[in-house]
Amino acid sequence: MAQSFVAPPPAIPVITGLGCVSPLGSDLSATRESLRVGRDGISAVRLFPVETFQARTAGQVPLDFEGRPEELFPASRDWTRAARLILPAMHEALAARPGFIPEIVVAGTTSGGMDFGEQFFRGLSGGLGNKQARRLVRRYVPQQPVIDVLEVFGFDAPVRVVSNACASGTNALCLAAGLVRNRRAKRVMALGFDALAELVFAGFDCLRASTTEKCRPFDANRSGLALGEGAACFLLEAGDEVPAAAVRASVAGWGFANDNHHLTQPEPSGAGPRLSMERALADAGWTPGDVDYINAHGTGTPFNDSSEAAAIRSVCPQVPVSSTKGMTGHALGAAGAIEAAFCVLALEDGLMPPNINLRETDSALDLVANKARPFALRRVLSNSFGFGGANATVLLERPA
Amino acid sequence: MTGDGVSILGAGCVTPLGRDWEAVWGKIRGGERPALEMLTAPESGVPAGVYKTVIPGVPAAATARLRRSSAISYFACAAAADAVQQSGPLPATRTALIFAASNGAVVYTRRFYADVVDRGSGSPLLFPETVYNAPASHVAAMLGLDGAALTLVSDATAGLTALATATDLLQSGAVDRCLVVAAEELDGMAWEGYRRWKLVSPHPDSRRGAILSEGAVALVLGPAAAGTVQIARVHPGKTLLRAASGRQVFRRLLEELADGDVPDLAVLSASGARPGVVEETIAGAVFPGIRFLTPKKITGEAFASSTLLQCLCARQEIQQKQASKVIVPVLGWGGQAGGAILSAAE
Repeated sequence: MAQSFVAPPPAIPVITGLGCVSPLGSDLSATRESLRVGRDGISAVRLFPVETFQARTAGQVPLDFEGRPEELFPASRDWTRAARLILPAMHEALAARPGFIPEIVVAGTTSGGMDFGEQFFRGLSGGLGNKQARRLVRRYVPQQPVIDVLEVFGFDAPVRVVSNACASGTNALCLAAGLVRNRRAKRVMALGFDALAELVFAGFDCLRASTTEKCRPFDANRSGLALGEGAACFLLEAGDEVPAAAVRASVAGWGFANDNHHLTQPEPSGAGPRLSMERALADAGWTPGDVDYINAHGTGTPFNDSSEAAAIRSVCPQVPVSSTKGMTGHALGAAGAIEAAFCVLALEDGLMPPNINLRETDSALDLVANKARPFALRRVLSNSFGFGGANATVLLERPA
Repeated sequence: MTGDGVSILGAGCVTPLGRDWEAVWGKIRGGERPALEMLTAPESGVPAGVYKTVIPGVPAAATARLRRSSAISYFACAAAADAVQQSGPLPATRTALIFAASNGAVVYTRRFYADVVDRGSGSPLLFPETVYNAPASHVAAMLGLDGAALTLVSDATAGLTALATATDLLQSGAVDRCLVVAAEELDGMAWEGYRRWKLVSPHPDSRRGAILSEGAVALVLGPAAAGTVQIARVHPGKTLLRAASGRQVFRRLLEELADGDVPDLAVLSASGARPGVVEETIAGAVFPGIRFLTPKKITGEAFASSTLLQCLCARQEIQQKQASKVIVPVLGWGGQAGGAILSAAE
């Protein structure tokens, strides 16, 4: 006979610390202002040569943190770009919650320390020395950028790395929230991170998924995505174990779905995204009418946006929607985490971030077109979809 | 600690020693290693002795999806199909697929980037298969699973993280079944990276490193059921920040995992590389006198896949009543450590 588990009463996972680094800013203050004005964070790629590619732009994070925290942590100069993106995000999140020691870290990424992998590959034909090779290989592995940064703060928590393509960041946040909800752990850190890398840039370029002009999510004449990069960090705790004043938002529910259609293309009717949104709503006990705002995956590719729009029309047809990827580019494994951070700021500020670069839409959605829209937001939904048919939706709620 | 147990309801494996578990187990017990095959490491030209696995046949439902895939996806689909054949059909919506890997689809990743470096662009046929979750996507499509499909990556501990995640999902009631699959494929560049890291050896008798291997292991997990072998506990794991303190941390992990009990058997992750030597020393000190099994010294190092193979060995010993409580520790090469306890479900 199968044994039934006696689960403890679930907790409400709440966000008590938040940090975010993206092309819109290296801290929450700058990010908040960029979201308010609808800043376009896409620029010419400077990190590697792009002459052989069709696309030439991306959302890049300037790693000039005005003396913070690179100067504080000189070891970071020996790190992968990914670790250097994580550091300020984790630093900011922990600063808000002194004494927080994570029991587990759940991180989402697609490419980990890819820049070091590329250097290793190129170095093999250039007489790469053993010492340098060891450094590159050891730091290339996907968990190492997280471990490097954890070490700065003296944390030895185990690191669970989710690599579910562009749904990774949302998956990581939800899995971390699940550990708190099921009282597996009291303090969990969730991360999403990815750094721009030549290999990945070449990949999207060869698929003709990258645009050669502006990234225009949900525009009738959208022509593709711009890649991006960044990191976001969340500190998660049980709502009944922290003071109310420490709570920035709660993770009310989530849903995952797999659409089994194609490795790179979404199922056209939006079956996978619809399922993940419906499962998230059911998980939280919300109705579609409870959702005040949707932060769409909205990459700006013709296929993604039409599939997602169909799913949103089917599940939450009346809800205002924007994609922030016109501002940031698509940060892949970091995107879901960064956009969840944007949602927390939207809840706090009562301001829906704008869907910039929009001229005319074919989506039949209520898009937050080009300018941020004020509204006393209480409950929001964020979508992330990835290669392999990975779909994830997370629901966030402002504290009462 | 993730506890209370989940049962192994089905298992499949694709290894250099074959695909039939009973035969594979016989060879492991008999110390019969696979045939050593040679790869050539790029640029250095160093001959790399490895244990290769024959590309397995896969169900018709996977054939079209896999026509452009590299070996790792074939391994994963074949092992998953065998596990499901043993467990019975999975509920499409109430099953989570948890896939674990360390190097992932490294063959296509190297080939794609080589094209980018040499020609300025890469193939659109290769790139989609380079993502870590490509094998999981193929497995989910083959089995028609539309629930969560999560890919977890790390060193060999990714296999344990997958078990912990599956246990969390099952015990929270979110799903009724979990299909846990771990897979790995061989590549000369990856081998060269590990060689520079001083972790691999070109020959099994050199005693200076592991022999790399490839393949997949799949487990179907469900709520603990009498008459089955259960994963009784999974330690959430630890990060070993520095070598010196890492020994103490790993020792503490083993003590926490055993929780005052002395297991009958330890199926270790040691595969001939430095971390394995440390593991054997510490496990010997924490559990003096217990029996050790080191299957990776026979089958080679296939990271997360090998971790699930350790679990299969533990399951076999329990089924054959050679042991009643087995500890499966893993000391990964990438700064992570973890462990699980397997026992008979009552």
